[in-house]
Amino acid sequence: MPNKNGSVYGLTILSPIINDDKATPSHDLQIRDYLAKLSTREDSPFAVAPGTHLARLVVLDDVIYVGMPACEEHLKSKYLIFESNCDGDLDGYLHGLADAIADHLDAIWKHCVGYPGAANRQAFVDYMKACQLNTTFYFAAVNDKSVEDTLRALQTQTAVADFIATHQGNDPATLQREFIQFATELRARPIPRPGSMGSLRDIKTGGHNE
Amino acid sequence: MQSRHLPASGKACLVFLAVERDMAALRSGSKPRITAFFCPAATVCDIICSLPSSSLQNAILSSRPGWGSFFPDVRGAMSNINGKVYAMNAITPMKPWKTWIVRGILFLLGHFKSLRQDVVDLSFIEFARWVVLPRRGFPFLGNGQERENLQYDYLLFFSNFNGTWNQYIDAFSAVLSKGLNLIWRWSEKFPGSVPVTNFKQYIALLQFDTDYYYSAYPNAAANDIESAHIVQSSLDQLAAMAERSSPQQFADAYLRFVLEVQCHLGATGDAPVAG
Repeated sequence: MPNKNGSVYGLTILSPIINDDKATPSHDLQIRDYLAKLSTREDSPFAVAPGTHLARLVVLDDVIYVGMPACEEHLKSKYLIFESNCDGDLDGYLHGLADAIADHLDAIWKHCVGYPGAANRQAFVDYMKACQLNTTFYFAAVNDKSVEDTLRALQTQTAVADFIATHQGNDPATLQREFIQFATELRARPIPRPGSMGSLRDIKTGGHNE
Repeated sequence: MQSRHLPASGKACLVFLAVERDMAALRSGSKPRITAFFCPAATVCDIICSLPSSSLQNAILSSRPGWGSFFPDVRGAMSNINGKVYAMNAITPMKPWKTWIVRGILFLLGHFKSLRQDVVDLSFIEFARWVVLPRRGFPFLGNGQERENLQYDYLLFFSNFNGTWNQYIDAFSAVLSKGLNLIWRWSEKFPGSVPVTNFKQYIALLQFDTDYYYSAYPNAAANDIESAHIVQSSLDQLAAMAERSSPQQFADAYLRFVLEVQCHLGATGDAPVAG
């Protein structure tokens, strides 16, 4: 099954949410409430844990009825969808999540049926795999670079533009000397933290022209 | 709030909220207040979370398919957008016998690079996936979970793209119409990707909103990322030869480097405003 494209893994997880009429607020609302307060910047759980390019969490309320003559049907459970585009293999990624952000995972998935908690690593990995859907077709525009590779490259792109702009017309010896220094400094520069290159979270609903 | 998603029924829901609060206030003997119409978005979510029973919350938020997307503010702070990336989710029903055709088409798409060249050429999709979800393939874990009893298989589509929803669907319809028709024509009531107006209405019906969206590099578009890797690769090559060449040899190589990367330079930042 094509869960992988190059070195990137396309993880799709569908976890049934506990359906408990006595829960107040209901479990799906508690998940949404937690997610609404979660940072999307460098202190995001997915920035703290290694290897996530892009990820989303979505509560699927129900399937959608498209109208007659199709049949109307409904799900018996709501589902939490976790869609992630990550580096490496699945086991390594799941262990990385459990090691780095167990509290967040527990806070979100404790509302899902049968979630064993992240403390029991093997049970956690087995649970996630039990909820995994195989991807039928997976596309990745850049499929051979890690998150760190991309963050470093974006930093380099900006730095090179600045270097070229400020070194026009230099004589060859000066240009070579300063380039060597520039390249050395750039290599030593820390990689930007994942999620740190964005603006503060501005909630947008995704209107058609946003 | 998205005006496209706020029909009269949306207002009715807020009225219902206000009445419920009145009833609760009356039962407690305090003076009733009607506030829901005037609450900011985040507060409306809090009001729902404070309702006395989950069945009432469910009645408001999810008794009908797609209701969540009718009330983006009521549902809370979901966000389909992070920086320059838009997260689209869509789910379409398919008759089970048609599922195998879709699987076959997606298999070919995955194994023959030439067939997906148009997607590559669009160059504003960072990651995308189709997932065929059989009607008996929904995860079942026991522990009180009811097993699903469905007639349709479902096709899930997740995309991470740059630009606006309108730009994306327009481009899809204009460039990928044949490919999209091949994949989605097996879904119930698919109107075809051309003309685009019907296609947009169909996607809007089937789309559901993202609750949390993370990107490691939110201010970079797919083209920024591809360009950045080209610059990095060229820079590494130049740096490797810089110390062992004469100044003139380096100057020549530097000029070639600048010519090579000049189309790939720039800085990332906020997305431009569409208009």
